[in-house]
Amino acid sequence: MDYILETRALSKRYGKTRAIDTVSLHVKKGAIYGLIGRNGAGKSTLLKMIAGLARPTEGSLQLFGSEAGDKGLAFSRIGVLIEHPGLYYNMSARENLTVKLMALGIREKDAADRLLETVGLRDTGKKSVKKFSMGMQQRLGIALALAGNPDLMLLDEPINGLDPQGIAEMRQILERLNREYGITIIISSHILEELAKVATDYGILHEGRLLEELTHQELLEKGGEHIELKTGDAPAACTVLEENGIAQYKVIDKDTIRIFERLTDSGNIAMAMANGHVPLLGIQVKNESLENYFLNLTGGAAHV
Amino acid sequence: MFNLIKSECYKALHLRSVRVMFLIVLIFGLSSGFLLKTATTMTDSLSAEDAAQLAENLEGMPVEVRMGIYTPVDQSLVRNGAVDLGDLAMADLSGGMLALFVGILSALFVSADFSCRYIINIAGHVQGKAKLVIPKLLVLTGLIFVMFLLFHGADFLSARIAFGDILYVSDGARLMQYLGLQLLLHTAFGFVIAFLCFTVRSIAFDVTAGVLLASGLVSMAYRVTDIIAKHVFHVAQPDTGVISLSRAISEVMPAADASVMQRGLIIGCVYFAAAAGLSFVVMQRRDIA
Repeated sequence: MDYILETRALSKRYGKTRAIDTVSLHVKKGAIYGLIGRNGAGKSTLLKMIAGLARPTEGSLQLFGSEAGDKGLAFSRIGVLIEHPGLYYNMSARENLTVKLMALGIREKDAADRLLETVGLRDTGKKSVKKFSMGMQQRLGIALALAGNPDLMLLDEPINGLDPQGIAEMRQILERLNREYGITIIISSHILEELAKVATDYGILHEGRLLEELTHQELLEKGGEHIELKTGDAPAACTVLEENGIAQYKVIDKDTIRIFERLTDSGNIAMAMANGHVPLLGIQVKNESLENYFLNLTGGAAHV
Repeated sequence: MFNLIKSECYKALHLRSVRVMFLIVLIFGLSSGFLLKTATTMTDSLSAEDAAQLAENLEGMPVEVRMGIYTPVDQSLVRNGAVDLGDLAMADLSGGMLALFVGILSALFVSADFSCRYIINIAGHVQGKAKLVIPKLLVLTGLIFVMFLLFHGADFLSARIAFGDILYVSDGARLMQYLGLQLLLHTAFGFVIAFLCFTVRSIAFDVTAGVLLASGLVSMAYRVTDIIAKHVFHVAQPDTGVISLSRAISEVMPAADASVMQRGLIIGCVYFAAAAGLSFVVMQRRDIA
């Protein structure tokens, strides 16, 4: 298999706390790899180690087919946007890019403009970055990560805090970078529904350990669709489901039940609820297999 | 390396904090001559008894316990109806005012990358994280040099206007030697603050440390060390403060003995090299983010 990144039992300890515990990650060239985990699962720490910003306590990583270390050039082929963009807020977008382009020795006069064009910030002029919206700052962060033509981009929560339009724009940018420039992307996000729209592969991180790696196809095969039922009386709804021979369901919260069988039978289920005098607020077939799969794997609907 | 230096220069030219610091130094330099003129006029107007009392009080105070920023002005600034440029420079430098500005500038410039996290955009592209220290310290040296020029240029200009024709240079070579040595000591001080920035990475802490160290806070630590040396180790007359950078800045004067100048040179070089060396070690060993 042609892996662009492979970690071998990578670990990071802070004092007695093991933030990352023997993680062996495999990222294929050209993939959009979704890194999933709850708050504090170790996603940012793992990405920092991959970017060469933090030193592993144990283990090793292979980047672009060779061992990555302090002396190697491998890290220079990685663009990063970790936690939030590192920007000089009193400078303009172009000035921020110029600082990095100069440091990398890139002398093409239009390099900054081309990068701004790529992320849709060409017309920001001399406006200082502090006056940018969060979405614009995130896009500038992507432009900075793109400086130096990286082969691998590490994006930690790039859609955090963005409005729906900003999320859609970010998704389009990432898809274009992956498709047109062939950049492999590792992306972590809390918004699993969004992640499921772009990712080709997934790694599920829980309490510093990598629980599982799977492709999008494998996820579809494993997860499957479900019916989401919204009701004002979940216990009564459960009784009705069981009376109708439905056993594969899960109560998500006091208003929501997910049913994993008889997916084409939603009309009859709605009728049964009405007959049983159970208030029905909504019923629809959904495919949130990534979130469902993650919750099942990590044990419950805690914060992702 | 050259690219990183260019990038640091570009950053220094575009950072608002650096521009503001230069503006403050320029304003202070331009007002300094007039302030000194006012101060000398005030001391001139003191009665002979008050002046003698003031001089006695100052003489009785050991150098190492003088904390805070002060400008050592007395009637000696105007001698035989003339003002020596060397005395004027000393009045500004020995009091620690420029060291204060150097401390704040160093903290703002070096911490900027860490506080806004811009460093994570660059760090991965550099082989050996310690290499990030060299361009930063080189450009900081340049900034301190420019600050020196700006301050003294403005200071001498305002003094020329305030004092008029009575301003003169008694010994040009001696003045240059003095300014050169003070530049070394101030740069070493800037490097010490830079080392703190590489280590602590909190702009609030770093600026506070710059202000407190320029104010001679460390002199208290030396006093405590002296007391311990005297009472625990029975050293007759301990004076550990002799190795203090802030004391060297206040003791090195245009008319100082060769031994004082020599000691200042050694202290400057040692602090300069030690702070730079430790900064390399810290950057190499610690995680960037």
